[in-house]
Amino acid sequence: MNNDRVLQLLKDGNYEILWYLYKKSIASISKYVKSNSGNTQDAEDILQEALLTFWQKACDPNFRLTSLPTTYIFAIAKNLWLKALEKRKTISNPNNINTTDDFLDNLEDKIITEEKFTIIDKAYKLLGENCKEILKQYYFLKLSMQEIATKLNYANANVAKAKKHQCLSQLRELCNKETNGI
Amino acid sequence: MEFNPETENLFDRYYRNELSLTEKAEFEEKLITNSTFREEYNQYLELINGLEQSIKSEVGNYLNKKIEYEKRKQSALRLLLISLGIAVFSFGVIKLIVDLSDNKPNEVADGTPAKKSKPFVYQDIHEDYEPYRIERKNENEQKNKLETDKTITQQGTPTKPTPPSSNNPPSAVDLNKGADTRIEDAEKYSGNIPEYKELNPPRARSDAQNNVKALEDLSKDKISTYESFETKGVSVEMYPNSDSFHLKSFNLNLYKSSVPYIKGYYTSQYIMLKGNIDINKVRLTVEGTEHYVYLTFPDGTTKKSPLPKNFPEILEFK
Repeated sequence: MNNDRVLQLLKDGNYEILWYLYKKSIASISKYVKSNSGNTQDAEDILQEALLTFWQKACDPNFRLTSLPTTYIFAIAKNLWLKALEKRKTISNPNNINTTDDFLDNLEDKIITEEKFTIIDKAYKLLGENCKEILKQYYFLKLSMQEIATKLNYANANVAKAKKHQCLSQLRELCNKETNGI
Repeated sequence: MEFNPETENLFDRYYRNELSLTEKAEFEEKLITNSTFREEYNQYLELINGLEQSIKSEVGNYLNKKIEYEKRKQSALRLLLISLGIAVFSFGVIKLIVDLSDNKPNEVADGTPAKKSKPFVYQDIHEDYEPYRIERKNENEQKNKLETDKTITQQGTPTKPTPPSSNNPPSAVDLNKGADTRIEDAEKYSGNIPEYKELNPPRARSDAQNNVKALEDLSKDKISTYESFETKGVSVEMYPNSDSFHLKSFNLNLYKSSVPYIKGYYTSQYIMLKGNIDINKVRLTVEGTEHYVYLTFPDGTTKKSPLPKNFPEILEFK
């Protein structure tokens, strides 16, 4: 499968291409992570993150893939794993444990943010497939309204834009309902 | 909080980095100066970040399901292979056990089943001659009976020993004479009792005559006559292989007779032993791997005779 075909499938939001790239990359990434203080689970997590990053990159109109997708994914995964290792080292160093009020405030913020993400995730799952698709293509893959209109068969970019606004408002309402439910 | 479409559009353009430098500077200044606007943008940002997380989570779930499915598939395949291996192994073990229990020989390297050697069955051959044997036995018995009757008729009834007569009983005094006197008395009365060997001389002679006659018949290659010899209780079992006579077992029951020969039974054939041999004083042995029949005498000397390859044949010991 050539690079253009891979990029096109990624832009189309085809999950199968992600699985294809996952299978192609897991062996080399697993080997690298395991030989650098990681395990199989770490390798799987890192590869998933790398794939999502690659997917987002692939949807950028200015992105040009000059190597094999697996090589590019391996480079992303390697970078992510080194960052993760650095983070682990920092956490495992007892001198770096922050017990100040700022840290506790940040921790509280993180917990609140996590709770909000959980609510949004529940609300997102309640959305219709069309809304999910349009929001994913606009905010995650950062496609233009014109591209979205073409792909999702809307009359024009304005219609797609209106639809996106409607879907985001629906998501917000569902979030409010989830919050009140809690 | 509800965003109007214009505000949302502005937020989107800033988030997607689509604003011009001037617009971007104005937007950031407003974020600093206008707390309501900042609050709105923070809410927008939380929502969009949460949305991104959800989308990532959705993709992650998809990939995790695929990974899980793949693992299960591999696990099932591994299990299937192990099961198959166990099944093949078990089948092999069972087959081996069955083969062993059936005493079936293993196949040779080229896959050709080894030839199963059929054990020699003496009884089968013996049974083929059973009718002849019974017929011969009856014939001999009839002949013996006639011979005996003839002898008795010629010689008359043997005289019965005269018991001590009532007219001349030993007196009580005589009885108390002691051992010497009793021996004398015994010698005195013994003259009236015929010796045992004289009781049946006709029968002994008859047996001897029959045996000699049978031997003569065999010497004349009369196969049918050998049956009469087996009735005398002589039996030798030997098991030949394909090209030579290997003796695997040898059972010999000698018929007590003054006739100086020993009859053997070799497969369906007879071995006749001829010579001036007292069968009560010799030992007949057969060496399993050598084709000789040995006769060992009390003084330790041994005479041997090669086993015949054509039957019936008389063995002569030298």
